[in-house]
Amino acid sequence: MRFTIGKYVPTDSFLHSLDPRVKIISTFLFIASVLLVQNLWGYIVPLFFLILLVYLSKISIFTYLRSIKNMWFLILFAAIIQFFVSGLEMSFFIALRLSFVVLFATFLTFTTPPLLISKGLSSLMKWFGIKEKHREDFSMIMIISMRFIPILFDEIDRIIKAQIARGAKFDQPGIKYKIKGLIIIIVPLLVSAIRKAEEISIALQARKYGIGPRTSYYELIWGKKDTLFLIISIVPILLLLWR
Amino acid sequence: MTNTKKVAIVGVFSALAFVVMYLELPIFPAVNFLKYDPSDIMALLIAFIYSPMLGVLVLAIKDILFYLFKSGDIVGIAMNFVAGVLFIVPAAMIYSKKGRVREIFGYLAGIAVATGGMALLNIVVVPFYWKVSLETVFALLPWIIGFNAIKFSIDSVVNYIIHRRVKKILEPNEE
Repeated sequence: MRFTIGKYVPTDSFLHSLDPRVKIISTFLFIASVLLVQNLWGYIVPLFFLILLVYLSKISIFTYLRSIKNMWFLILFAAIIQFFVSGLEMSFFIALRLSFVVLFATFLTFTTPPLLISKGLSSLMKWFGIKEKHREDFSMIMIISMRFIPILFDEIDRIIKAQIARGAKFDQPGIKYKIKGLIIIIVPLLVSAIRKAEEISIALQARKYGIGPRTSYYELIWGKKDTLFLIISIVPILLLLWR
Repeated sequence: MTNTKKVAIVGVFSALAFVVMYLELPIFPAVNFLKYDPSDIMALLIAFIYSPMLGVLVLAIKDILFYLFKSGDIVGIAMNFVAGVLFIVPAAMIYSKKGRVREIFGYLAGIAVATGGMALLNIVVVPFYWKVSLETVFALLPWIIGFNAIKFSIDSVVNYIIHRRVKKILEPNEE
């Protein structure tokens, strides 16, 4: 099973060079602004900022639009319900609303590598008064789990094939067989995952993890352009509140 | 338990939870977007074997990973996280490693709290996010309640069957 890690699209744009912390905050600000829109014309504001983001990130608009593909059923379902409840205009409204939320949410994952997002998140936790040691543990846990995803996918693939070879039937109907099927995949998966976790824990100990402060090759630095971008991302909320 | 072991196990279990999210299957064909996935079982195992707090951490990291790698639907992911917390925290608190009777009561309480809490949350969030009237939400509510009840019942049954075995592998020296 092939699995490409993340949705990150590497280019050398202005947005890619920003601090991950500012991108996390502005993602939430942009999504909040979409939720503030009151009528169809109000979408001009988020649309303008989305086009600005697409332009600044040097990623083609079609790559962005592809991210809605996973969500098409939910969007269609909401639009159809809305159409029967309150007409065509509202059904467009709700489809646009869901699409814009997804598009602004993917802007972060397109322009920031997953490891930097986890670093940014653990750095943002400082503001919520979480201790340095716990934040370090959090980012370490994130990194371990990201590295493990592809390994575990291969493992699942192997287990499913092995169980089929032993005569397991995964396609039988009925909730009893579904639960049985889950258990014969999950238990071997757990055993192999736990064995790997023990190895990691020994490796961490051998590298003196948790003894003394952890240093980092890549430090996050908040620069002038980050403040500028933060100010830009407050604008749509102000525009929509002022109307 | 040493700190490094905790970090390694929570990390690996979060990855496991994320991976088994891909085994999703819709329970009711009519409301296709409510999909069952076994990822809450991993968080439940950690909450039962170690502490409820670590279980919540597994849930949080699983949902962050899901946002980073798969879907952009932030509101849906947040709802999934809240549902998991509402189920795992009561179940693990009541069980607190004290026998099968309390374990079953824990599951029942968890299912009740999570199903009720999610029904309430849907009444609050859905009209705001989807801009539908309350009557439409009430029409969908039986599906939502049924979905959550079935989902957490499956989690409970699977966890009841496997959690002692997993505990023996994780902590062979105890008991």
